[in-house]
Amino acid sequence: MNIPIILMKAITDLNYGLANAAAVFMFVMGIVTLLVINRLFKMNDPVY
Amino acid sequence: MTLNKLERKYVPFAYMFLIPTVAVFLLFYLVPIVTVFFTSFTRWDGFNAPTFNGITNYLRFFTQSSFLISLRNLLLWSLIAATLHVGFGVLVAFILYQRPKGWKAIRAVYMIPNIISSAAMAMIFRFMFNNDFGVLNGVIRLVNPSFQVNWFFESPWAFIAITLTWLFYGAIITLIVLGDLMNIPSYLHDAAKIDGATGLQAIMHIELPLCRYAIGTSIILSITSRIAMYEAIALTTRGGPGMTP
Repeated sequence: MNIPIILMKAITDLNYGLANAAAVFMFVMGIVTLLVINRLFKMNDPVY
Repeated sequence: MTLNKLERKYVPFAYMFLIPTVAVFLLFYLVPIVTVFFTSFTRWDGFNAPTFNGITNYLRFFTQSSFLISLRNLLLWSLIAATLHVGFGVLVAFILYQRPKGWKAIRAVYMIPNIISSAAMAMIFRFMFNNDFGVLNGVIRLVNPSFQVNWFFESPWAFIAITLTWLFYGAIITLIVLGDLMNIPSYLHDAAKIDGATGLQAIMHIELPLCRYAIGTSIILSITSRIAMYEAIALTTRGGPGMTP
């Protein structure tokens, strides 16, 4: 069980509002991952 | 950055060349994202017009019983992806960087699973992990004839089985990291050798730090793939045994 499964179940139940809420949550998780990894690996700093 | 007169003359052309890319981005990415965000605050069945219902959808999403299981799975898979999955891909990249005999053939063979679609991979693993005729249980039954585990339909084996469908397929990570490794200037290795650095010291102080962009990008790609992973779960477990992973 994971978030896309919940999303697909909401779509098959014709509950697009709930499906979109799950999609927004996934999008936010992706952005948070990007920001955390950028900060951890100092990806905005020059290599040398 | 200041532009001279000649360069300023070509700036409108640069914007013109950007228009198709920006138009595609707006049409296929930004507009759907904004639409999804606004419709998440509505009640909509696809037939009638959406009606605003505030944060009801979000409350329903966060309070349903399958959300906590999904979140736990997501966090565990993200941790496994960032460590083992990316770690394995980076390890293979460093091995290939040493150019062992037949490394080009190994690199080509290692890429083969990436040519297969994730849906086809899910079906392959579904047959491999089948309790009655799967190759995995067949091998285990050579040692323990009474072994009976329906991998994708029993907890906690379903989580382990799903993880194994993607854990060792890090070809994209290997290619990204290998590309960065091959761009390391050779004079850095020469200088390290002159200074008496061992192979491990060269890896720890030259190669790994210079690959950190590639490794960071690989971790982002791996974790976001786990967030959006659907075929591997739907085609093997159809959502999981009950509500378990």
